[in-house]
Amino acid sequence: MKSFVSQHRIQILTILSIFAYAYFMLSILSAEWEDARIGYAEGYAAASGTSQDSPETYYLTLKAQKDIFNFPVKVMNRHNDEMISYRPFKIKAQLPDIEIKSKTIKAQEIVTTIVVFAIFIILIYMPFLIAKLLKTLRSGNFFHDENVSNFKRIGQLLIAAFVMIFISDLMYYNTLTSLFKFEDYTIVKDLPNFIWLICGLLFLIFGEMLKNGLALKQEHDLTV
Amino acid sequence: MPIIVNLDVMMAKRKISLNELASRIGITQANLSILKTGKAKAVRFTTLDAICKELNCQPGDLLEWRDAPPTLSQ
Repeated sequence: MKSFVSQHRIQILTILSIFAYAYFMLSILSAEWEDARIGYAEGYAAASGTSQDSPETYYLTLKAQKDIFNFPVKVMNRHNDEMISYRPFKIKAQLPDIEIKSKTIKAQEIVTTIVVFAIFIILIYMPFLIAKLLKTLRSGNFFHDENVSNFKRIGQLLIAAFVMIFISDLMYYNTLTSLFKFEDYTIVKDLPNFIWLICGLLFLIFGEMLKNGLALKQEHDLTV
Repeated sequence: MPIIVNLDVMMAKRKISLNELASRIGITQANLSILKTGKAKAVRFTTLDAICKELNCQPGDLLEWRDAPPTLSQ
């Protein structure tokens, strides 16, 4: 009875984790969807010759340098129809492409594109690994060699994704600061989400714990 | 492994099969086979007690220690 309850709990947790990961992927895709849609529209316009602008655009976060008294940006509050001043502390901006003359910057852009593609491959491959893991968990066979290697592989991929995101953000920031410099704004350097690193480390730790558990179980199975 | 299990010798002396011994002492044939073939990592005292009772022998009749042969690296 005790093992049945435990297996039932594992099944519920695996189903919840599937939904959580699906939500995570959808949130990433929906955040990038607008950028992808704009990129597609601009690329199509450029390819069909209906647009004179380059399809490339830059997306960056700008931080205002001046204080509110010297930087009165006004906007209408529709609740009371009054104009209020605000300080655009951090704003996300989309800037048109400018010609890149530096070979270093061009190389960085190529490397950034490759790294982003690699991250995309990892995000696509991850569900297959998780599915393999959940399949063995659902069958109740928790202590299995394949589970240990799957946990470790997922952990390594998450850490690799974090490192690649860090590198691509660094290169992209370098590209932006080489191309743009504004009087009233500084370009904000985006930090990668540390959740990738934390989850990767947790998966590796859990893989080690499972490996120890597997050894103990094997010893228990060979105890008469 | 230095611990040798002489269960097959005692079973032959008492003229009892693996199936019969397993059913009498209340463990599975697979587990008893693990013990008999020397693959077991550990034996519970309760199991040892049951086997000795059934085969009318001492634990020393079932278990023997022999020094492990030197490995190639040594």
